[in-house]
Amino acid sequence: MKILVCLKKTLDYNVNPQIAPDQQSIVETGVKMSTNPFCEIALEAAIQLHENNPTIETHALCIGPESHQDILKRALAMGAHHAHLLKCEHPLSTLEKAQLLKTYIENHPYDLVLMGKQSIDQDHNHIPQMLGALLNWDTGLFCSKIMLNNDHLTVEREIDEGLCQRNIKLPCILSSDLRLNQPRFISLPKIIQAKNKPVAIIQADSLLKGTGPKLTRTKLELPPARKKGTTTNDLSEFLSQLKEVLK
Amino acid sequence: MSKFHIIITPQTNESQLINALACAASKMGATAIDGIYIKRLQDPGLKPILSNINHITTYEISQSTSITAQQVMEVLGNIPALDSLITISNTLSKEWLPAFAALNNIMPITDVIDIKNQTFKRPIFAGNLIETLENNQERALISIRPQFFKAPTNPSNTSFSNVSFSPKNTSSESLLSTDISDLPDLLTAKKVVSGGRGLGSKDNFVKIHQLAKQLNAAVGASRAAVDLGYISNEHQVGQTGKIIAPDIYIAFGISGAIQHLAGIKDSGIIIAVNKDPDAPIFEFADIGYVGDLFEVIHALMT
Repeated sequence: MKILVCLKKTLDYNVNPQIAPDQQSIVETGVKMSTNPFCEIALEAAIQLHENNPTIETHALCIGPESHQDILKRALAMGAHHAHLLKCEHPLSTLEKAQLLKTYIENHPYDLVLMGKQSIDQDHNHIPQMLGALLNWDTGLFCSKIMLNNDHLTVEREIDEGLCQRNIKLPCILSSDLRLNQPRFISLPKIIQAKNKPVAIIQADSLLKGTGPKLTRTKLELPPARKKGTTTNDLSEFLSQLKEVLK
Repeated sequence: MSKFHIIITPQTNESQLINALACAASKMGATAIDGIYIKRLQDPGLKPILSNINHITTYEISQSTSITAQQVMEVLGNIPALDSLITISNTLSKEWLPAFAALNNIMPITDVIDIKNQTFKRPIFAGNLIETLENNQERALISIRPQFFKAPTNPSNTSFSNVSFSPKNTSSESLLSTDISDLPDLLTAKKVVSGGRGLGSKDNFVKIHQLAKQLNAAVGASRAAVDLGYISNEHQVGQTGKIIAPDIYIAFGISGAIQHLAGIKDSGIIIAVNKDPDAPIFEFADIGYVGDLFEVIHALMT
């Protein structure tokens, strides 16, 4: 069984995003970049599936320029067996990424594709759903538990109504929620070892059908700021304020 | 311009959500808006509404389990191929909208908070920034956060019709846990009482429910409270939980991680109670109390 885990490189979750002078993009130079936390959870899930069943092979994949190899090296250090970079120099929309992944997966079959449910930069929550539709594969979104049986998976998913359980046939696509697991710590020796492991580079530009941008970002701005209110440690003062509001 | 359809699935306060969708469609310049309501046998159906929607077709699915994304997409197969769709951002539409969009080679615009014709605003980076997008496509596939679309629309007489619908796709899933209560719905409640790690235990969290009941408020929770098992996941408020904007939000024992603030920062008045004076939530709160949350709850209950 082969598992593909798709990883996105994003601004580190501790970094406060800054608007670039063009008012349309984010400052990325000199800023710490990391694997999108949701993607790292998906990778941890794949590695755990391998640990429970050593015949399972795990592949990590990233779409982006050559500089994105660092997060793939990190994935190898974490325990992925193989790493692939779909090399693409310009930014792609979620739809283009899903279309690109569809073409890649049709040529490189996998049994299970694991992805983060959303990226912490764009907060889209699109690609697993889009890829599932394009491949006509079953999808299990927002998973907080994954159990692998013989020919199918049982997943628990977090939805608006609560927690639900579903059986899903392979091949399928799963997207991870935060409660799925806690990604492991990667030791320095493993990071150093992984530096010499290969990353397969696939030229992705040739796989893309150019159609022109469907959406154009025209502006980036800060949300209206909330004013800092008053804080007290006087209970009766606070209660009278609160009761006034609740009237 | 192509026609607009609003897509509704069973949720509480549907009439409020329909008004938000109608408002969003008007902001896109829609003149003719139709609605599609997909319901299960046991769902009561829509109450008569006042909105600028011409006609709502109810598709009644012959089953009682949760509606799946595949079934929504089957119903949408009945819509002319160039029409624009607007729906509410929820976990069901997060499934079907991107899937439907990909099959139609359309880039969807999701979690929209403001619209002007074909220009859309949506939050990114957990609401730290707002991006403005221009839609260059003939068709728009949109999901909105309903609390941002409150402007009144010019009501007309909405007509209704019903269609029985037997989906080809009958795959279902079972709900493992859900919290059935008579408290207001978290997404549309005017008041929300929310608890975090500071409650200390599941037993103590019951006090949040009791206070919510007394105030006729919905119950919210931080991710920490859900992780610790104090309350089930559907109450989680934040970047990955529900994004809410009640008139009054009262947070007990929530430190206010940026991911939580992403879910509440458009609320009217934010009130925070926390024993840590350095808790980040005090940077956002309109009224804050540094001290024991149980004393506050006790005082409010008596």
